[in-house]
Amino acid sequence: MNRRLLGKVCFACLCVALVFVLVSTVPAGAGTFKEGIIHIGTMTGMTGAYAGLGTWQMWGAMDRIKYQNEQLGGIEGHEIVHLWGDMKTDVPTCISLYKRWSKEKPKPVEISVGHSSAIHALKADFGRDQILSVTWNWNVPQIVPPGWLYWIQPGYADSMVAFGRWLKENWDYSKKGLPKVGYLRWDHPYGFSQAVVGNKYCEEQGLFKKVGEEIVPMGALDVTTQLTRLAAKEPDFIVTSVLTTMSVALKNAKKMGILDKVQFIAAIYDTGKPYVKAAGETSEGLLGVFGCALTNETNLTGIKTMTEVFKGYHAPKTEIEDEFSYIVGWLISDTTIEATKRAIQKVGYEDMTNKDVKAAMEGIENYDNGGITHPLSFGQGSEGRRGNKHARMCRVENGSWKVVSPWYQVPFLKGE
Amino acid sequence: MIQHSGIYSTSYKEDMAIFRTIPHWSWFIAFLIALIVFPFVATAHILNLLCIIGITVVAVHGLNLLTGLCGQISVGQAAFMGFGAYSYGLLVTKLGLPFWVALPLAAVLTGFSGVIFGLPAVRVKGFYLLVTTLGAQFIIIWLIIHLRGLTGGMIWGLSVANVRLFGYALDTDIKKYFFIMAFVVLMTFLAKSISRSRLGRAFIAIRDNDLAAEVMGINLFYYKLIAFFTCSVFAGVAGSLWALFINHLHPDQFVLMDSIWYLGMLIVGGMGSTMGAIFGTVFFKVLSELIVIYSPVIADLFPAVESGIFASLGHLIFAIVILLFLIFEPRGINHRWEILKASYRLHPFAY
Repeated sequence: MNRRLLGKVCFACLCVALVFVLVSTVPAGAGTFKEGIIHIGTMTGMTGAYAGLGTWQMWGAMDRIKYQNEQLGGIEGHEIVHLWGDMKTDVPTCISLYKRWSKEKPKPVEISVGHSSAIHALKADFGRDQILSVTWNWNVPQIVPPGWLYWIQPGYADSMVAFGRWLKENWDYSKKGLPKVGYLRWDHPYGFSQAVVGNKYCEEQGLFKKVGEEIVPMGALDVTTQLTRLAAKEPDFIVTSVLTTMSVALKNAKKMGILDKVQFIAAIYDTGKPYVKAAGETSEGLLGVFGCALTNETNLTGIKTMTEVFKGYHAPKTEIEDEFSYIVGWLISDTTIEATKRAIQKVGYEDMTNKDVKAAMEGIENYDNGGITHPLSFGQGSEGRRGNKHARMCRVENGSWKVVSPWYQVPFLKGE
Repeated sequence: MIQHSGIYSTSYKEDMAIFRTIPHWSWFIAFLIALIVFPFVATAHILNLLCIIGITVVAVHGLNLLTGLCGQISVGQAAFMGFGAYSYGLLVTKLGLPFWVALPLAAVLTGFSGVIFGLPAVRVKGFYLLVTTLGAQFIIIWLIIHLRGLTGGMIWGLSVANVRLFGYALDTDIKKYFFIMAFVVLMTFLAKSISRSRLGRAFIAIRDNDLAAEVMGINLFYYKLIAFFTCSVFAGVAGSLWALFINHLHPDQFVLMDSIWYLGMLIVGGMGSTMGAIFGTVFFKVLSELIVIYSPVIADLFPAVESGIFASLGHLIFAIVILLFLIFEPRGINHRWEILKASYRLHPFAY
């Protein structure tokens, strides 16, 4: 046999071996389930600008469903079939995925969409097709008027209100006067108006005074100019509300010598572990707003289960790197499973329709998910769509977040 | 155009005809019948995909006239589409105009917006022009975001009611499909006609050598602006179709990446040819859809590999496809199609 032929044979053998190794890792049959499956759909942006968030959110959703199937025997004995896909943060792709999944038999009980613009476009479809959609918290019009959409996280406006509440408890108003707050935000659909709404509410409540607002681009590598302008207004606090901005702002602030003079606050979607890691030592003392527990709170049963499940499914990874996104994915699946379970218990699998799941969802009150969030309560009307109405403050100590406040209940701010 | 032996023209009109022979007409009629019959057998998912492809085809036709024919590069097509969509939406919702008035008006308004951003084309070209059209992408989206009173801004967006045609609301997937496809056929015919007209030949002359074109008497200023106008009119129509298809507009639906992908579609399909715009769009959208559908299936087969890796396949494959086309077939799919047709017509001869 000549060398070239031998090489080709070896290469072919290697390929076959690789395929064999990969395929052999497919888990064995899902076990004994009752007849009849339950579809749950999740679409997140696993590629593109939000790939970091989207991928972790997807893993959270996937792991919760896998855990339910493999460890808890599905929902009331019925296997969950998880429909998932990368929506590429692209509206046509979201719609396409939705159209495909919504025609599955049986109809999915829930389809989660990680794109606010697509949610707007699909809101009428959710209602027409009677499919629930559980999501983080994006824009108020998603739940005003109320439809088939539910939130499991507080939003930007809530973030500012929680910060305001923390100030009320921790700021010496009599000696220092009204705290001055500067604001760094992205001029883009995600959340800015709600942040404006939150600020307005806090100012009206006399919690702080907004002294400045600066626009920063997404993925900015330098915000010195914006910080210089804000620093000139001598704020006591600077809030960052743009993904990835926090770490850049902290590093710039250190170079400018203002890091010790101003307390930085990371708003709710700017608290990811990767950003803390990127900020390095400058993140020490940073305050952040969270609508969920931290992965290092392993004394909480929900977090303990979640971290163990993660280690089991993602070995050799041991750490949930983007805890916020992962928890969101986990929570969406967890809440959907809970509502579906209650619906099956009430009417039985055979007779269950998505209206029953919706009714069960709206009947959820003080649902304890093992401490991952403050107990969730849904209900009728727009207000009832906000399952999670609580947020709290955390501080970075020795490179990781630590809880520093109780849960603050935040009101429903409709905004403009 | 190469024809079978024995087929010859006896007049210029005959020579210029798009459909000349019975097989031409047969194929065209068969295609139209397929377009009409298909929605009755297709799923909602496929119909939705076809509608999106159709709308994109209209936008890419416009870009083809500007970039493929006239050689003026633009990365603002998605923004112009947004301009058209919002113009249509506002004309319908705020002024209460019927769609058959609002749609052409929105298209013309978008055309004029294109002229404004095309003005620098008189002085600059190539990469410099590309940067000026990039400005359109930012300025138009900025306007949509900040004219909140009109557009609903980022939070509320703009809801657009379904079109009513002779008393019937176009409120189902099938009805929307027929409506959109009618426009796709019409705009394709228009794009083809422009490319074969005096205007199209002037565009080609400018693309091939603008100095020579000017010496030949072609007014560069006029024709370049006409190219921008025409391109934006197509974007305006595409945007209007998008508005009545999706019923809810949001600035996030018209992003820079879409403008770049439109160029990619044109490159893969074949710049400067009407069929190229169709081939490129269909190729990209179908490939994208297949990747979205099959990446979870592949990921489920290989659980040892993180699912995110498979999801990333899409971008990777797109990048590789464009790279391969640029290296091996810079004239795009359409060129291969032309070779195939020529081979069939010349058979059994090689040349």
